[in-house]
Amino acid sequence: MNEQYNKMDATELAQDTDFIAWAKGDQAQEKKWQSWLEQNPEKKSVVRDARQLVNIVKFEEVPVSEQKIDLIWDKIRADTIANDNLQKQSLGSDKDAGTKVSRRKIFKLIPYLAAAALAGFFAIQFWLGRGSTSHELAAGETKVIQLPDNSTVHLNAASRLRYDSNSFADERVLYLDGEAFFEVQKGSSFKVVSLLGEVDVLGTSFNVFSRDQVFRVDCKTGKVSVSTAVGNQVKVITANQGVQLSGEDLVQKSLSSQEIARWKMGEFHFENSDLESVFAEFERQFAKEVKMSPQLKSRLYSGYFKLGSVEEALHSICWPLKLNYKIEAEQVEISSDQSL
Amino acid sequence: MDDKGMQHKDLWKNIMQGDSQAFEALYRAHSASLLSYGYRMTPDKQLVEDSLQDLFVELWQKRSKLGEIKSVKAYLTVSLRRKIIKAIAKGVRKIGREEAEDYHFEAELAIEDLLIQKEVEGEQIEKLRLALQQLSSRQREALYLKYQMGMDYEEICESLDLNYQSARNLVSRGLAKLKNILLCLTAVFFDFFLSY
Repeated sequence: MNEQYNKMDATELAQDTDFIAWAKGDQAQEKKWQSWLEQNPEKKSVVRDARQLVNIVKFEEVPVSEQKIDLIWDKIRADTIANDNLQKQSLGSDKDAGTKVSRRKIFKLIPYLAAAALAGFFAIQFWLGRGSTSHELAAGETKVIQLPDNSTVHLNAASRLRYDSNSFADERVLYLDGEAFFEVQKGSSFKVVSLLGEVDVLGTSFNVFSRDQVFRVDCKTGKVSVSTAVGNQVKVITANQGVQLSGEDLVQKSLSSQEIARWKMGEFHFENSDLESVFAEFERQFAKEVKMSPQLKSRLYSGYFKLGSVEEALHSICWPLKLNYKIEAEQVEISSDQSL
Repeated sequence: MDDKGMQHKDLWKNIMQGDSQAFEALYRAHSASLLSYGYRMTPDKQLVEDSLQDLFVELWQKRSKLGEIKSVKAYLTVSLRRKIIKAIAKGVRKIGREEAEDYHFEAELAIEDLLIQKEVEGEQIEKLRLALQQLSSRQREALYLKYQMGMDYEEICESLDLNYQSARNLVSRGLAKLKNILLCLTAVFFDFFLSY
């Protein structure tokens, strides 16, 4: 009984309608799942993870008041049921009803047109006055962003940058998820916050890479202070130095000026990087999905690929490792020689 | 289909025959969840409310031409969604933008409240928020339909104009990302997750 659950992992289980009901406290499901757990005690941790997932996917409710619902209903009613009744009445009394009704309809529309125009005006005000500015790039896109203080951000593909334009003049704080190169105008403090760590600067230029578990900061000019989210390590680096998060530690290394933010020139360099992260960058730049076997993901690669031709880029990665590639519309398949 | 779904189908049939009470009942049953779904597509509440009004007015006007449908909830959701997207596009053109931007589905996971209760500090919450932003707008919307509005996959497909596999992928990938975030933050919020 209920064998279909035996091979599910936590994310699959968390999508099952019955399981969701149980995780949300539906007593009717209690028996079924308890007995399944008794038969499959090794599934305890999967169930715990799945429950945790279901419980975390709760959204903030936007409250909707009864009055609002009534108000909208009154408008709907006026345009539907009430209107029908009116038509029926006037049809009975006046043969010329058709034109009359439509004229009345136009008069009735006037307050709504006015209201709509007013609402539109406020919507635009709201839109323009909104404090939070955010730039979100899909795979294959890059963008140069001018900040209110004339600092410049080069945002790499599949990245998101957000800041509050209202308070930016007083406090320069940006939230980054992905990779970006910053050229900062001199001024008060300038802070880049990301999931794994943050960077404090005065006037300078530097690159931040913060994706998945990787956090890396390379300083091109000036001086920046880097601190980690976990463990609260702090390191100050100057021009041509970089730090990368390794476990809870920030490991420092020196770089040449040309090495920093080469992605801006459309070049992606790797040194002993696993193929998984190399192809993750490839996916972000070419907006294609890469498929390969799990064994290949951990192979190490040193070299670089360039933007432009998909084929050339794939060749640059695959040739040194003796791998084959096959390009389909939105997909690329990577395989090793032996498997062919 | 659950009992509620059946009831809504009955309402639907009665509306087709011109039953105005069934029409009001349908509105009362769905308006709150449709509104709070719509509010997440744009900060402009008036636009959402006008769209909902248009939707029901049109529904009544073409009641005699309505056909049988699989899910009332999905039908209403997809209709509202199309109306809002159209209205946003119009508004964007009005203020002189070159092209209509896609809407952004804003829905904050309620985890923030829990963290505040557990006295997690301001900056860590900001970081968690960053992590949650790794969910794409579409993933967020699919998760919302599934877990907040309680839709099954067929209803999600219809609501988002997607095929079955794409709808499943959206939810699976969203969940997988959440799972990663949980793993990544376990160290920081260990105490919090122990209480689950």
